[in-house]
Amino acid sequence: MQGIASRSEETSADVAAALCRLSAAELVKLKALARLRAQGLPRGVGWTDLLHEAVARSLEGSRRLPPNVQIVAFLGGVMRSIASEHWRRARTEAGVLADLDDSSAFAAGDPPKDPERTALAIQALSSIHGLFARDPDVLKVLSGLADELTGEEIRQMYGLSAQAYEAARKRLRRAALRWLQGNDAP
Amino acid sequence: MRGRRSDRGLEQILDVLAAELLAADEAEIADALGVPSASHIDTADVAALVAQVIEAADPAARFPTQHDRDPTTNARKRN
Repeated sequence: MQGIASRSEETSADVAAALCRLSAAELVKLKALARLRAQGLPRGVGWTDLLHEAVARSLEGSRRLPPNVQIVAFLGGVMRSIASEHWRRARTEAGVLADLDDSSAFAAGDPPKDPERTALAIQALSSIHGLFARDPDVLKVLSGLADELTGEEIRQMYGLSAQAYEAARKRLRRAALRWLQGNDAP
Repeated sequence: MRGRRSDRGLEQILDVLAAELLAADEAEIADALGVPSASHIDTADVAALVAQVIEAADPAARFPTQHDRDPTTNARKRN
């Protein structure tokens, strides 16, 4: 037991030390990731809630920082997981009944449909789409990456040159950074 | 993108954007936000939040201020 406690303490100390070393750029990324993962969450749950919870869990040792994983990437993963938990909790609390007849909307193994989640997800997707609506190449790249296509596959599918693909990806990153720092309303 | 099934589709899009954010380097962040370097970006809100959680977990802990992280920037701002 002592070994476990001691490992936990070491992990918490490691996380605290890594947090104290965060650069300005890493803090920017952390906020951007928190704001990103707050998209489509139940009402009343914001980016500060996600980040607060992720840091607290990491310091408690309930989420351990694996070796060779950067703290920002680690916290990004924890926030992703917490965001999913919020939905599971909301679904349980609301006692949402699954519309099992609507099998067309879900592949096998998918969770049952949650109308609120669906509505908020549509809203969030629409906002993101609006952010890139004037840049069709960025939308193609984003869509292709979401489908787990490689860069080469995306280029072939949409007839993009290597240069156009790289430029679109750069615009995607820049627009996302601006949006998630609150400089561009979606 | 509009044709994606909403909740799963949103997750996929968020995962892509998260990966892109993680891949951004300091120069790219500064350039995107229109500042000379990342240290010119106001990170007070996120730093305060992280500091609050760290100090709640360990009252003896002290999260570095922006000044601690980049004294040159602060000296420049003062001048």
